[in-house]
Amino acid sequence: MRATAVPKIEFLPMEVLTDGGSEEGRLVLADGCLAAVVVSVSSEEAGQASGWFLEAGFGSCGILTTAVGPVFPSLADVEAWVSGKLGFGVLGGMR
Amino acid sequence: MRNPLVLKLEQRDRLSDEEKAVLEGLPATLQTVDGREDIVREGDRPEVSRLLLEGFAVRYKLVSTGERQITAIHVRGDFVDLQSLLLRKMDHSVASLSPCKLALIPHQALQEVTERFPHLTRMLWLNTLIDGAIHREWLVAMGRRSAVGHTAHILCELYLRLKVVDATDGNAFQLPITQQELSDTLGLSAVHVNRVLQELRNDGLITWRGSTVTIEDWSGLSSLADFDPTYLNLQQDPR
Repeated sequence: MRATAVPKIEFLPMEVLTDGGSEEGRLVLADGCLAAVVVSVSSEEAGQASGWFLEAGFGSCGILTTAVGPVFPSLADVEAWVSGKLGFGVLGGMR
Repeated sequence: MRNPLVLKLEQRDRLSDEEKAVLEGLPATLQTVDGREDIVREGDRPEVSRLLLEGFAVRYKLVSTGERQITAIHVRGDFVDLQSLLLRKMDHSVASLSPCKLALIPHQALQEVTERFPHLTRMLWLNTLIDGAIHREWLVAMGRRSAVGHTAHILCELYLRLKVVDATDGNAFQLPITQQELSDTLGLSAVHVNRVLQELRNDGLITWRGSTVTIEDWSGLSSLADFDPTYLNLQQDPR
């Protein structure tokens, strides 16, 4: 996943257990590899505008580079973020 | 109304009449601030230390991504920047959560206390040691407790700290904090904070309406939090 070429991002609909919140989620695949799980959240849950919450991230989409899961306004924003993280590799903006 | 610093210290040790008179007679300028205003900023070199008389304040640091970590919540009777007496330059900022009333006590006056009253000096030292003990508990909670346990822990702690300074009403207390501010305090996403509070409510442990938190089941909440109040040093001991 450290290739410099832009990875192909796909979204796979998946129900996600979120303890009372929305269960509409997406597995985010980057070149067929599981990079993140996002879940649709209302503005009340998000404490800000509604969107897609980074429920879990893997590799450089995970806690190695992201302290607290952000809420993205749209799936296009999720795609741009995942591509950016993978493009930069584990050290993110440090190089 | 009793001086909240005297209330807070008397919970930990006896103060003589003279010592109480010294604390109550400290020269101070009153400052009032609205909610969500900076009181002292990182980089400042204050010449006074601020004693919170009314309201809620937080210590915080910003990181380069613009995100904020709240490292302490202060209630009436707390000094929000006693350490500036010795550390001089602020390495973090202090802001109000709610409208606050503060007593600004010149460092020179505090320094005179330390030169003339050894027991009061130890009590001020104790005050900063308890701040340190609270920081340790927060660090443990942030690193090693579940999100639900961490949140329950902070609610147990605030209830006891507020009770000491006569700021609880039965099992209820005021906590004027937003979901985002709580997320900055707990190091959790606002989404997770929302879920945690739902969980605590659904389990009948707390109710939270507006800024009023009511502990409905202390034994359930404190056992979920694995809460041991030793670090708050709430017993009177000769110090």
